[in-house]
Amino acid sequence: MTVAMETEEEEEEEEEEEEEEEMIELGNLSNDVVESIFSRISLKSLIRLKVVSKTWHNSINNIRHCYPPTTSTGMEGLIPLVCKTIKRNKTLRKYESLSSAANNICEDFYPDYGGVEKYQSLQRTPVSTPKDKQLVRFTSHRIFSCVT
Amino acid sequence: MASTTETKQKKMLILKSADNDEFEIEESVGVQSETIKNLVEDGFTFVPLPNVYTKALIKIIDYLKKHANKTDSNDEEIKTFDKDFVNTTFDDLFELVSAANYLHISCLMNMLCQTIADRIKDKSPEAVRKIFHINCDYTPEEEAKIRKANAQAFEGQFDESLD
Repeated sequence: MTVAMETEEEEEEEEEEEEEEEMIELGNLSNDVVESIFSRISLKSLIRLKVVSKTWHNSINNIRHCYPPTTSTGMEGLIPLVCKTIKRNKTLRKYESLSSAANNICEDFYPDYGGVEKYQSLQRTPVSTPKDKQLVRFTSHRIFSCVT
Repeated sequence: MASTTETKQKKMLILKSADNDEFEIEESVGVQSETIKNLVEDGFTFVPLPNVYTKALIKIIDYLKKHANKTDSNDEEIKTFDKDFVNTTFDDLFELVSAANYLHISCLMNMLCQTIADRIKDKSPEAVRKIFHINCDYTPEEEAKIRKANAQAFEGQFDESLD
């Protein structure tokens, strides 16, 4: 279910990129302060806060969330291990999508450098992503082969 | 109090707020702020703080004084102080967090961010907008679309209060 949620979010992001929305202020707080606050809020609450404004939506997509150790601590054995791996893979995937959103924001903030930034990122991504994806697939396969 | 400042021989600093009020504090108190510490290391004893207003600066100096004298024995006292410190309005918290960010006081920054996070995490998006003074720039259709895509996150009742 959560995976479905994510793909839909990504679709929305793409639409936003096409529209090239202007950035607005983050209330009266600076970006790094707001992101520092976001990093302390659970993912579910953060998803809800995405509708606050477009800027918040972008900031929330950009934060490196420190996951609270709710599911994996206190449990031992194979199931938590699998859960953890799935979660980690999900995070990895998310980071990939986040980085693309970040480039978009760079462009908004620094329109002068935007072209260069984007060009660099275009050059960079094809090299790194297939490698990452292969790695992710490989680890999850290994985990599941261990289950079966 | 004397024991913690003995080695520094009570060097004094003057902090000047954005509204031109001046505050004299001990160097040992001020250097808990990375920003002030860097200036002190460069030989400054007069520190203008153009981004920090008097109201926030008074509270922050109180905080720094309290935490400069941290020992095992007054641990409880400091905890009570911290609790009172963050028990204020959102607007005050935002002003304090901006000042703490500018002054680079990491323990204060952590405390304030955690407080704000805890206080907004169960609130409705509408309440959060009002608290942060944000105008929603989504069209109703766009907002409905996001809500629909993340329906799970919008299940249940949320806190509509603004405090």
